[in-house]
Amino acid sequence: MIRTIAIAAAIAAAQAAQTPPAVFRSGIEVVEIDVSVTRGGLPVPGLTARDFAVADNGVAQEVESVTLDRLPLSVTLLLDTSASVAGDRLAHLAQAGEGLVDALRPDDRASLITFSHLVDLRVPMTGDKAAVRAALHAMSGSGATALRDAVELALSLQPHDRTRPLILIFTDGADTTSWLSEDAVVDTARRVGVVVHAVRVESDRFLDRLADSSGGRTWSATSDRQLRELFTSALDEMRARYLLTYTPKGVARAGWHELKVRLRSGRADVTARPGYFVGAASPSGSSRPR
Amino acid sequence: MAGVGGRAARATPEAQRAAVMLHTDAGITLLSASATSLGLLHFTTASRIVNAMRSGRGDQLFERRWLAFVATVYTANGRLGDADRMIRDALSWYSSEPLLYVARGALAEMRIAMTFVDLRSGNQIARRDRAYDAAAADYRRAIGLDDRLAIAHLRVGWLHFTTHDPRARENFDAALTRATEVRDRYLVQLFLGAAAERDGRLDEAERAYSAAQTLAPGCQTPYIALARVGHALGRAAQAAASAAAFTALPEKSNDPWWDFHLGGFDHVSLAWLHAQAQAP
Repeated sequence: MIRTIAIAAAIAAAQAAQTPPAVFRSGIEVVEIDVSVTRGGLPVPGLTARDFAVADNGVAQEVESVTLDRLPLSVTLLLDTSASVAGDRLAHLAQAGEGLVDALRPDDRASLITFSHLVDLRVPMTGDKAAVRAALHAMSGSGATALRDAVELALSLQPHDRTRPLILIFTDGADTTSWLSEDAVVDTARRVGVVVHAVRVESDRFLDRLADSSGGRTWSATSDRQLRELFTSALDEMRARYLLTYTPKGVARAGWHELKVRLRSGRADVTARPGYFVGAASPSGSSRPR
Repeated sequence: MAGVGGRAARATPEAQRAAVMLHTDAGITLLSASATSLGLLHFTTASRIVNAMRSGRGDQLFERRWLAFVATVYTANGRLGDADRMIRDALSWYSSEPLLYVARGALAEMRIAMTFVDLRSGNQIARRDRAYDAAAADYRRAIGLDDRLAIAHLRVGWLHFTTHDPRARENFDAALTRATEVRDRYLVQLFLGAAAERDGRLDEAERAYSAAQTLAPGCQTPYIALARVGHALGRAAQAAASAAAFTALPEKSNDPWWDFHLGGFDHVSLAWLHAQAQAP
């Protein structure tokens, strides 16, 4: 008996377990950071490792490599299909999703998760773009909104391979039925380290926090016709990102690592996730913090 | 449908109950399909029949429970004014019906949820807190009238949990010992998991969520909650496994959490009312 009702649900925060510190063994783990560098809203091209300064928990690190647009993308489309989306908006949403799929390169992959109160993996991560297109056009709108629960599921299903994962969210309203709190899902996003972009219709504090915690961005759609353009912008933004790698030195291994990324010279807007998390239980060499 | 009340008064009690549930089911279906006016028309008709039944003798358990149930339907559909009127009328006739107090508490909670509270405004916070207190008082009154009512313990427990009141745990324990319906036992386990998670007892939270999953393996929330606990424990593979297990389910069920959270649509009462309508 689920109907759409605008509720600003308040569920108390779940607390993350703290892990004891350990020391990195040099040369075993590599950290990768997706970094967006823009000036006047446009990507800044041609940067090399020497242009970036990275601090890990306040300790300066040596950037070993910088690549641009080399690795294929794994894009998760996470789309709101609650009752408020039904009708024209849903048609525009399907077209926007199709536009994004069309803009993918042959070795990129995509998956589709929709959510109302129910979160539904419509298409698992695949290179079969036709399957994603077909699922986009089979979407229908009804029910309430469980945005936070959907994000948690999407974060949990991220692939661990040599691709650059991106979650692109679209929603047009407030969360009404999620079990999880904002704090819990933001904490998961910090731990998983996947870039999360969001296109929204109304301002949403949770999406802002989510994007900030993942080094992603949010876009506001002023009309449904704009969705296609914004989806493509989100993809372009991801492609224009640099992938920085370094081997952490002089910092404790386990726990939260605060990251500061800046250009050594020149002025630009640099966006990267604020840090990454390494669990104490993770065996050395088996995890590659992204 | 004019004159329904008069004709209903002359019908047998069995026919009256059957007619009430026929209109009730139609109303629920139509509201779910967003055919609101038509849905409300069926509830009005059912209400006229129930009014005619009220002149009869006996404990009028069916009538009382129907009124409380329909109030939850209205609340769950955002018809808060209709729910309020129905509860006020019903309490004027049946002031000792505990489910009416549960319905009134859920209505108050829904009003809070649908009202923006500016956390910089002392007046708004005070108004919200008074509404929380009123809802909790209604749940406690329901428990005072019938201590066996698991849903009342659950609702006051969840309210205490969300307002960081330490009595939540004892409310959940009380619900656990009284819950006979799977839906209520499922919710108790979810809430025990949430309480443990907030206290940082993640292994205990994991056990409670797993128990909820066992009770309702087709429901979404335990999988999401277990994925989250996996991340909090630093076990990404466990989180991924929980998420994958959910997506692999061949069939998903309606999650009682959704109804609990969105006004408390009372499935247990609906099943009971159907059984009464079909009884010889």
